[in-house]
Amino acid sequence: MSDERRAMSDECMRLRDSLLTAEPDELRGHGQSDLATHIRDCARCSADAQRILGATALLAGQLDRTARIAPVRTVSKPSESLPAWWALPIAAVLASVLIANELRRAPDPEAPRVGLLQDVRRPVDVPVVNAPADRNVAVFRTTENITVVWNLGAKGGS
Amino acid sequence: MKTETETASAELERLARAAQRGQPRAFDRLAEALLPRLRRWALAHVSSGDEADDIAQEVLLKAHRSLADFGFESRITTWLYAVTRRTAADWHRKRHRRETLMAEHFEAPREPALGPELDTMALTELVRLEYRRLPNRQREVFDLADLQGIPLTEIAEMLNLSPITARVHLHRARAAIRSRILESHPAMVEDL
Repeated sequence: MSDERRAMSDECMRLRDSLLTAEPDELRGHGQSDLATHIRDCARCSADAQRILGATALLAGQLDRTARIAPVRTVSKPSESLPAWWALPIAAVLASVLIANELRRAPDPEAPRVGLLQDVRRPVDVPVVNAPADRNVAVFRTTENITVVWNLGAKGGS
Repeated sequence: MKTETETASAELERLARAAQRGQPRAFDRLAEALLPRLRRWALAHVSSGDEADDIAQEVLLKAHRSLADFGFESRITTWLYAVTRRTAADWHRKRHRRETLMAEHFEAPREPALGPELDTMALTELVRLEYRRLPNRQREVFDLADLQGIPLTEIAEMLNLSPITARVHLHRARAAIRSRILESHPAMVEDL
């Protein structure tokens, strides 16, 4: 039977709770506390302390790696980006063009349909425009809340 | 003599003050220095790197908007940790419905079976699951203290807790995680 598989002594049992809450340095056997002294003397408890330190280090390493490998994105700074209101006149013009275009046109059974993409894994409010064959559609996302869909008519024509 | 975390905090504060004065590129440098730390903090609240990154980016935006009003009454890390916690809480509220739906359709992650052949990956997964199961406060204190090496007095300040309460959370978290680690070893199971 290896040292670390020996039965726990009374001293091991007495210090079991301390082992579960001790500072990492005590688990390394540093210092003069009862637990640190016992860990230096007892192969069984020393092995348990090493297991705790090792598994904790594995968890720390895994979380650190996860944090480091996150995708790098540039931060858009609000003061340097245009305020949201700049898009309103453009949206209004585009919307009026769209409405005028629709009014001129006879009801089109194949008009673009606008729906919301329901992505189970990562739902995002991205409009999906299903343009019928032979139609061009322009989609402008001007702000977080305004999306303009522009029916440009038949491909290669008006 | 200053500790490593104190030196890092002092550098962040210097950059934050420079950004407040409008010094060119100071906020960029501050953001660059903060981003890994914000991601790491966020990981105590969410389980994937992508989610942590979303939260970190949002915290940076909030920091940029509010930096002018920050009076340096507390450490900048304390302020930003509080922003990270609030942002993570908002994130959870927004995602609550989706998570409920996900939970209905997908199985919970399975625990690796205990046994003599528990390898490093399985042990890491076992400990990670136990870490995720900890109550929020315990997980945060354990994460900051034992996984990131931040002194308990600073953690108490960051979480607005008394040092004694922070210690109680830390001990409970350690006891839960360490019991699980020791249970994973068959020699220990024999004796218990």
